[in-house]
Amino acid sequence: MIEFSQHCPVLMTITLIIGGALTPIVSISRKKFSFWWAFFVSLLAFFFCSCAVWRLYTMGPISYWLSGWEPPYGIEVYFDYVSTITFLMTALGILVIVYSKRYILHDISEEKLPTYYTLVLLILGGMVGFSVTGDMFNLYVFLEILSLSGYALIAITEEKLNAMASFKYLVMGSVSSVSVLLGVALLYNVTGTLNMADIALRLQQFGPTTAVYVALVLFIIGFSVKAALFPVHAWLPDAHALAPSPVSALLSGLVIKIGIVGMLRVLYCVYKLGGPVDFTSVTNFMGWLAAVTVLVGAFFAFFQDDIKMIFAYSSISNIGYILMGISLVSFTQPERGYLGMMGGLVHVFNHAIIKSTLFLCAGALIYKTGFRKLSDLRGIGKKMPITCGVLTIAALSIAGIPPTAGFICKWYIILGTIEFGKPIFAVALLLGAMLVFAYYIKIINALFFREPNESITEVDEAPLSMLVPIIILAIGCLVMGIFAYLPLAVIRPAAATMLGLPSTYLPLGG
Amino acid sequence: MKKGIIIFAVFLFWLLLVSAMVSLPPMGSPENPAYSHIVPRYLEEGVEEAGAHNIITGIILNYRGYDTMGEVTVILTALMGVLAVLGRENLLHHTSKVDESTIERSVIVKCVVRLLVPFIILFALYIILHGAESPGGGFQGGAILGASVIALTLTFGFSLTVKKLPLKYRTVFESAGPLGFFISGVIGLFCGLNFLTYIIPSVAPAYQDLIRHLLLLIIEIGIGVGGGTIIASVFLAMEKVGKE
Repeated sequence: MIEFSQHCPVLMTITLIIGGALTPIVSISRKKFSFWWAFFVSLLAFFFCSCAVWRLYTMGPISYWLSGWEPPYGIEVYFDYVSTITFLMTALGILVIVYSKRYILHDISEEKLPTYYTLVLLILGGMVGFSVTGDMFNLYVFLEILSLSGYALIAITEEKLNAMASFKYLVMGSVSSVSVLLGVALLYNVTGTLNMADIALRLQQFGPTTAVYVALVLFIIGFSVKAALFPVHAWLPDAHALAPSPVSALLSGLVIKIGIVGMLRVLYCVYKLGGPVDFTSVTNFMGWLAAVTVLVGAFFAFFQDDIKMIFAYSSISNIGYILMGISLVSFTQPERGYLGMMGGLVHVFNHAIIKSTLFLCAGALIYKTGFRKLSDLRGIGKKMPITCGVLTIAALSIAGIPPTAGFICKWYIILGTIEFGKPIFAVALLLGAMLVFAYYIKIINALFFREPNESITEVDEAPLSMLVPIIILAIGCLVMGIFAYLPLAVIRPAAATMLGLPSTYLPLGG
Repeated sequence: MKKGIIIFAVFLFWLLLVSAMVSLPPMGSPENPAYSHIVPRYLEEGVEEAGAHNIITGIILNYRGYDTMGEVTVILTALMGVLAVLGRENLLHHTSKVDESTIERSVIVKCVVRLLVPFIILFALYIILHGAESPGGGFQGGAILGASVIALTLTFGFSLTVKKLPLKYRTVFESAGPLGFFISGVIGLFCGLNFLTYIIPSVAPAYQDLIRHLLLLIIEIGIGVGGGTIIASVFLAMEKVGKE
């Protein structure tokens, strides 16, 4: 078991990628079989991921040498505490695939089913590979896999608007990928190695040059676009709102977190707090941008009528929270950034769960009624009580109402800003939270308390294959809130190791 | 105004990159870390350790094989993206711009293409198979293979290619790249070694080299066939036009 679990970080990546490559082959004669195949592959990947996480928490991080070459010469896969996000990715992958079974035929023809499931498996494989790698160029390769499949998944419905949204995302995404690649190239030129741990070591030796600073800026630009930080967020609303709902759930729940994971890797694994480069001026600037992102996202969400558009703008706002959390670090006193980092990392998990619930619920409403505007969906709550009930739970979670998942992470982030001596950020975050609360109240009001729309009187509850995933996710929202010590205990070592503290670190009084 | 801002932003970006370039270690200097840290081992022991006389092949398939597997997957993803947007061709519903063209195709072009295509394919196979020994390899050979299909389609029309390369074979061949890596890589995994280790420990040491060569060959053929078919499929998807 121990020997087997050591292979798991790589096994889950290749399961998803090879499973994706095999999907068109196994479904040559029966297109619908591709669903069962994708379901099986995602279950297998989830199993491998669980083994890897089990090993991580019993025996510490896994370092796996591909082809058996020792790190600076070959590629190293490094499964550490931040990589626990792969657990969420594979779990959410299963739910999204189950949900797609009925939903996706509403958007695409049966001809394209194998293509769709291939792309879903590849995007999951890309994200998993990205999160577990310990090598800079490997990071870029998986970034390309997941970005390309993301562009394709948005455009798969053949609507003209989708093609436009996908193209916008493609252009901005390509610029960001290229800037990440340039950053990798500069670091390689300065240090002569691609392994993250080795780069960190050699940067210490050589000391910083201009190229090292420029590489940092390039990484930040690249990952900011992927994460949709304020000035470069313009691609997100269209792309996330127009994509088929299960794809929106994947993109909004997981793919934008890739930018966050990338920043964590570059800032805290390669450049490192207390390392040769004092990057706190960059992170402070990111903190300001994050504050603006929170407000801008929440503000624009307020004026949307399209239900998926609201959720897409709310994603921008929440990315602001996460970035705020992870950017509140002090170069010399890593302990001071602990609360914010905790909040940010927990919010990565919680937002993924909540936002996928919201998008999948919105998908169920659209599937049954064909409407996507709040004004058309009014009064639907009595016809589809389960879907709307789940949507309410998720909406309360994202607004941060105490017994649900969103509360604990926002609480930690706001505590972090005060601890860090930036109360102005706390004000911005609270203002954002209030706006969020206001527009989710608007949604709940429209769904339950307004006069029903006459044209939706015939509607009944969504099919079981769509209800089961959203109910599981809703339970996730509640569990992550009520038993908040669970996610906190799981994330604590990740936050501590990112800040360069021992993984068992506990703040005073915590 | 808008243009001015864009030009200014591009200029700033350019300035950033140039300032980085200036501070880089000088090109070609022996002290450059890019040449002195890990590369010497590749050059000195690459032939022996990685099992390919062409050191580039040794690096991309052995030292950094996992990256190459990712790149092959990127190519497959690109094809899936094209299929997601444009869809597969189907002779019942589609014809091509070539078939619809009213211009007569010249006899010279037809003869030359007919004569050359077998040699082009032979050359592609040679480059794929010889990748481990000399410049070349799966990617280059695959591109030539794909080009031969494009040349055939452009002169003899769409339906010929679709009939000669039916969809069910192409579907299998398109995934050949990642599958080649999987087949070669997973053997080491079953022997208790790491993924992509091209060694079977129970075999006598004298045959280890042969086995490694065979496994690398499987990968090269996978990349070549996969790449070629993907180029052909992308071309066919883009070339098709709906029948009235």
